Amino acid sequence: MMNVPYLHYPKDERSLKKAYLIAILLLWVFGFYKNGILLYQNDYISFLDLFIPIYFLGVSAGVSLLVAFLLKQNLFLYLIYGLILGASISINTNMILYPILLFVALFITSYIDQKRSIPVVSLTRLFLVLAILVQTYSYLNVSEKIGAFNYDYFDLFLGYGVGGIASSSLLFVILAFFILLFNPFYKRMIPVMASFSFILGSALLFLITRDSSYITTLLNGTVYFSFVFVATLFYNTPITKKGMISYGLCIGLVSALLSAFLPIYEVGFLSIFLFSLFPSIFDQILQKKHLHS
Amino acid sequence: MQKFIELKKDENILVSSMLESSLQPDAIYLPVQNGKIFIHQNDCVKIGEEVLEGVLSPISGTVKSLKRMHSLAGDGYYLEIANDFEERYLKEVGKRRKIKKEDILKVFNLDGMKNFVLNAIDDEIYVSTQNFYLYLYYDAFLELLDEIEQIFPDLNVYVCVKASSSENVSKLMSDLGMYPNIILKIVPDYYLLGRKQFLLSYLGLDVEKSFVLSAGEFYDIYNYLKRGRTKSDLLLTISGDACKNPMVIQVKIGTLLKDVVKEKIEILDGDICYFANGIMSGQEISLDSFVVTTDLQSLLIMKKKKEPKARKCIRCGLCSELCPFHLHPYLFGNPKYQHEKERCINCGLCSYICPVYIHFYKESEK
Repeated sequence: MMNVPYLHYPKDERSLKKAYLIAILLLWVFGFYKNGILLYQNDYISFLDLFIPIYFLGVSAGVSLLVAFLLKQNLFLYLIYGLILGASISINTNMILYPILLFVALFITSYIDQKRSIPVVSLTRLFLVLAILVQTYSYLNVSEKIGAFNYDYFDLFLGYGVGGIASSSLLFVILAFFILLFNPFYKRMIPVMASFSFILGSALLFLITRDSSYITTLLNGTVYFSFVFVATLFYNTPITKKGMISYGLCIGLVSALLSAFLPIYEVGFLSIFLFSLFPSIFDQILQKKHLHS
Repeated sequence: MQKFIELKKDENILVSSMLESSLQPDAIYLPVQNGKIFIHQNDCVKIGEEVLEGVLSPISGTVKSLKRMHSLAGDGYYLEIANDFEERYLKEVGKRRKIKKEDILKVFNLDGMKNFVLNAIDDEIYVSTQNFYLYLYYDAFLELLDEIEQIFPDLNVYVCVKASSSENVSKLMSDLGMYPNIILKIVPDYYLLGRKQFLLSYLGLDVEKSFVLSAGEFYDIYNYLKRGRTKSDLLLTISGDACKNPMVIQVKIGTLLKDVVKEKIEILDGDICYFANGIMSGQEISLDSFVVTTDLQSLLIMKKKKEPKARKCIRCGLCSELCPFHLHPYLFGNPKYQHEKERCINCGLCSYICPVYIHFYKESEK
């Protein structure tokens, strides 16, 4: 087997990173429209406030690149980490505390990750809740706070519902998924199975509780955003196909169960964090027979 | 289910459709390999004479001495026979004779077989050896296949060629009308179809009830049945991006590969390296003292490239997904899972697909 330098599949890890970057920037475009342009057009915010989503985009990218530089990590990968983290936080996040908290959380998790592999993004994301909690814990933007909308299910699907800065649109998350789907290295089974079990779990909860919020949350992009972007990230997922399927099913189901107790915006990240701590368990349990044959 | 893929190759490397030959080496070298030596120094030998246990001389000449050489058969002592260029055969050969049913029954063990498959597919990229056997000895192949079909009327006789082998495909398409019981199977340019078990799996044929021969093996049998000749030469593809004139060459077994390259091949300037039997599943060799043996099918001459630095595994799982036996190459380095590595056929697909350029086999040997 001598093929490594002489014969290789035309795509490599960089193509996957590029696909992630394009997909996440697509969501940021919608985030800028929803939380910036649209609010400004309707006179809910000032001209300067129009650029708040851009501020979070820039800070997320800048801080993550700084951490990557300091810890001698891959800059491109950390840029993606930063953009994913920024896209999922609330527009009400404290603008001064956010860069500090992002730097500290990302630095510490990345440092630990160098010693012992841990899910950097989902863990950092859990820390970032603190920056939202400093203000009033809310994902509502100005127009949503005053209830100046009357969205139907289709509008929620388009992304006009409540959610992270650039993660509220289920439509755009689906488009991002299709961009990533064309890359062979993307772990497509994870978001597919996670979404399937999340929908199933939420439908079951709805049947038990008759609470229509479980159906409404099904159209919220934030959970699917975590499935498509965070659950599939590079180093903390099962490696076998069966492992990926079961990992996805567990994440989706636990996200649905957690949504009964916790805000929907956090459940995806929390369940991903829990299951990403020991990804190889999924491989070992399912492949035990084969590996020891 | 087995997943087959087409390897992305350099379309500029095209093997010439003309056969070259290098059949008059000054001397040949045969691996001794702990077997009995039946001759002595300065003995005269003829073509087809058993000189070592199970090894027939491919040339006529004088036995010289033992020399240290290497080949795909390994490093060790090789018996040198100096060529007298007289091409004297042990038995009277050359006269074409009719192939007898008894001979065919003796050579082919087709009891209980339902399918006879002639495999003219080359697995490795830039290699055209099996394809050339069919192209060159096309009429002979059809003649023998027809005989086999007549002797075993219940046998399904298949000829498998790659769709990219345009000359063979067009010839077979036009001629197989005269042989209605020979079935032509044109397969895509997928890697691994040159190997028996994967070809049968692709064709949906029962492994236990199928007899598969490569075009090279089939030609040797034809030669033996028709002319009584034993194998003394073989076809060898020499190509690669550092080779100005990629071609298929007929060479005597035991020839020094360096002499063949020197005589026939123009090589680009710069750092180059040589691969025996392809870059996917073959091995890098040094041309010095390298001897052509029966298991050598190709020599690829490539511009030396720096090996990309392997990065941390992103756990995409494609190495395992593409592995023909669904092994877990990422576990090869773990002594606990040595049985995984033992089952590896070294096809190279895991390293080919790996997005972070992990050289699994090499990594596991660290």
